[in-house]
Amino acid sequence: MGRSYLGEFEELVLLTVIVLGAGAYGLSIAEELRQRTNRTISLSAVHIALYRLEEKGFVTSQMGGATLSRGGRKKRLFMITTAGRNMLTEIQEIRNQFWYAIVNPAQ
Amino acid sequence: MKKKRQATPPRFAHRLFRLLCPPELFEELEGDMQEQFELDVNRAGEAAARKTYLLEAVKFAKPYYLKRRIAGLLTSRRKTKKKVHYYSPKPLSTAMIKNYLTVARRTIVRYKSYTLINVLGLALGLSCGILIFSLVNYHLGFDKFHANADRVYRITSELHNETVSKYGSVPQPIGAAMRDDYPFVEKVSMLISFGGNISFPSRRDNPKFDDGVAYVEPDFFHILDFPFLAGNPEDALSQPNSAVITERLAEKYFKKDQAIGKSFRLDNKTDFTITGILKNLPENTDIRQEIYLSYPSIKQTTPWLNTWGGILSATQAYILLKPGTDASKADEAMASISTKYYDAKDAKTFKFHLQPLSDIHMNQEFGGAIAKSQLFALSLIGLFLVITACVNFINLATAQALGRSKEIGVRKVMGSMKGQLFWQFIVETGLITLIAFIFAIGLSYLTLPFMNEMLSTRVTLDWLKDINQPIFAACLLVVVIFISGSYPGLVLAGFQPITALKGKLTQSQIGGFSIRKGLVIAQFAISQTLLIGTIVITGQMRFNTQADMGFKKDAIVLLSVPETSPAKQSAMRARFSQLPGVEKVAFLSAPPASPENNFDTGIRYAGRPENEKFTIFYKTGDPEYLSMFGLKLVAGRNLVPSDTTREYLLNETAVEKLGVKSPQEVIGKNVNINGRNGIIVGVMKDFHSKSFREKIDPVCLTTRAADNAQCALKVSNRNLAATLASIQKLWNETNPDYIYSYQFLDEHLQHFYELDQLILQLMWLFAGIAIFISSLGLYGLISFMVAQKTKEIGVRKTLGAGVGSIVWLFGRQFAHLLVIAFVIAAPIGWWLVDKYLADFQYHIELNLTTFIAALGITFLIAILTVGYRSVKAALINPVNALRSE
Repeated sequence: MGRSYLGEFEELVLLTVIVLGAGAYGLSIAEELRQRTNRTISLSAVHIALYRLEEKGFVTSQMGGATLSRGGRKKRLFMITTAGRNMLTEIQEIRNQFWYAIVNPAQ
Repeated sequence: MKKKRQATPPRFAHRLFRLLCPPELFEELEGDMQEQFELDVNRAGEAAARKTYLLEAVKFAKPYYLKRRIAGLLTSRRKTKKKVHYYSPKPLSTAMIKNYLTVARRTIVRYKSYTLINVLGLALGLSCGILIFSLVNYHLGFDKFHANADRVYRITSELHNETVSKYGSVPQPIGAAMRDDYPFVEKVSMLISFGGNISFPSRRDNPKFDDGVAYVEPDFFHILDFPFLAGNPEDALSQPNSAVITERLAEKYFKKDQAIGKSFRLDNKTDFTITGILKNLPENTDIRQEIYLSYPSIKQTTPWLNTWGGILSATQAYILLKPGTDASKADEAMASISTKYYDAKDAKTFKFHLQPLSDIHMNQEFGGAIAKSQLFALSLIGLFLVITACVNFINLATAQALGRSKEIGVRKVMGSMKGQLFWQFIVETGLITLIAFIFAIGLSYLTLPFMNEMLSTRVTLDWLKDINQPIFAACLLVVVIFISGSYPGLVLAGFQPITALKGKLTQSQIGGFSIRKGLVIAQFAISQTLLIGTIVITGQMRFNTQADMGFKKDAIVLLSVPETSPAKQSAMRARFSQLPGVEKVAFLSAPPASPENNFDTGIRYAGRPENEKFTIFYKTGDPEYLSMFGLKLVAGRNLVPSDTTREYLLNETAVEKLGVKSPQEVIGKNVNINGRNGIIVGVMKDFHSKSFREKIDPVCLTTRAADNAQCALKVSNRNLAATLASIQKLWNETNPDYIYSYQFLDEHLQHFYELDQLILQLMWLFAGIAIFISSLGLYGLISFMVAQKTKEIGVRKTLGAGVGSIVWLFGRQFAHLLVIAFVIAAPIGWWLVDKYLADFQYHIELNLTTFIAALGITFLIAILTVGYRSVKAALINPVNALRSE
């Protein structure tokens, strides 16, 4: 694999960003992950993953409008970039190759 | 109808979160935290939600956030608001570093004396640090390079008599016994070393050399790794009369010729053929022999050694244990040697143990060079020196800071950030430290040969060979820069711009004046203690060399007599007596006092049934002995010339120890000393038979030509060089097969005090360094005070104070400090030198002058240090001092 390395947790976060579409921000991503993975997920860890993804160029972000429900604070909304999508596809392909090799060991 | 209270997160947790969260991320993160909390309240109730909130807050203590949080602290808040997401201004950007360097260079050039003092102080401290580290590193690295070092052991002996004595040497047959009896032993080799006289009779000029030799078994080169340049380790020493020598010796003996196959003669008796050349020995091994001889030859050259009953100090046994052997079990198993090879009585006396190779250098019980505790003490001294150097630097830097407060104020007003000011000071310190460091390295290289000579070590400063040294140097550099740079950096960068600009900084803002005073006191207390010690040891050393030992020791030359036959001796005597500069000739076993060749033996007096409880020093000489050394008789007469033992002279102590009341009574009595009977014909007045450390021992003198291994010549002082030259020529003519060496008796006696001489040199050195460092500390303190009292001096001068009273203003303070230091140093110094002197049976008396001298010297140095600075301050025109507002 080329370029940047993507950790397992980062991969999950990146996938969640796609799943949530326009509504992806720290808490919603954490909640989604909690439901899907049944793990303990802390906000601080999710944010670190998001900032790292942004530094690597796999997501971009912008500040959203303030809402009443969160003490008047703004949200930072995250969106996947093309590089992020490519990365996920690449990972998926590599995995597929391995699975294929396991199912057909003769190859 | 109660109004539902709004649920809030725990206040403590919220504060914690605020503390941990980087300011630029605060907005979004707090929003998420709050939203999460509200969600949890609905889902699980308020209590659970509060708990989760706390847990989440704690989890923000991750390096990712902390790093940004700290970066945020170092940069001003106003700026970050406008800043783009994540970006924090870096005080270490290239442009800033360039600026720091420019400013630092200007400061250094501008304050020349300040720079000079700092560089000197630091360089001294650092070079001490480097030297001490390389010394410690050298000692720790001994014999570590052998591939099997962890499985190599040396056999040690314990002799259980009235007391237990321990030796690193063993009886010779133990090697074979180990090989035959113990399955856990993989390889064994004896190492038996002697001094050797090497000659080459086949060559026309027959050159002679003095080099140590060692007999080793072929396995020796499998146990320890000394690589061969030529020849084969497997069979180099398997044949009798073969030898392996080092590259260095091969060059010395044969210049550029091929050494292999050549032969040499040992001690004019046995020929050996060279079968192998070793690479030169590394510096860090305790095995220093450079000629290895095949083991079977020892039967020929030293047949008497093969006994279980005696232990020659040069006989060592090295073994290699099989892999996986438990050394403590092996050690226990060796108890069976005592029972198997000794009779029941001796089995209780002789015990043998294993000593790991790594222990040999560090264990002083078995003659190791230096103990770990001593290395530790040395490291502490090194640490102390480096730290004091840093503290002095801090002192000077903060004192100077007052003068630079305006600069800092202006910088702050112009928008300098705290981080930038901090780094500026670090860069300044870094430059000064770097200069000092370069000096320190130069100084270390210059002083290393002296250190090696003084401590008889072979330390090298080779940064390419030993990776530890550059690593240490780099760490030292970084640590010193940060210790000495960060305090001034933090304090100065924290100044309030307004107070700094007004020049109204007070002591409390600079901080720690009393700590600084304490430090100066401590430094001077150490200097004074060292001075007291130095003065006392110097005095005792002068006493050692000048006090009357009870015999004459001036202008007496000692020569060795390699062949002791009576005919040879009388031939030598006849020829030496004819030399014009020689006044007297005597043949003897040892001079009245000597650090070596002392032979202690049993005595049985006048028909008493058993040997006396004490032993007696046995010396031989001809009748010239008494007049040669100016010894007096208190009773009886001198010896009559003879080649065998017939008559004895005793000294007064011997008579006293025999329990005889007056010297007259022993005259004419029979005595048996060292198994030989004789008649006591005279009693000598007591003289010192050893150093002043020890009491006078019982001594006897008798005639026995076979024991006369030395020849003493009384020479006249006129034409000494010519006389010495003709003595050498004569000696070489009479002993063509041997190497000439001579010694003056008084120099020979100096060997008693070699260690004291070394201690004295070290004391001088450390006292010098301590005084220098404490004067630097003092200078820092006085500069600080002068800077503070500028106004006060101005006011005093306008009101009519003279220079003297102003100098006294400072002098008073320092007189206090010195007296306090002295009150601490005097009892410690007294206690230490008292312990030192108690080691001498004959010593100088402690007196008050020593202490007054120590105080006086420190006062003198303090006056020089303080005087210059305070006179300079006192001479300032008060107008300038007062106008500075």
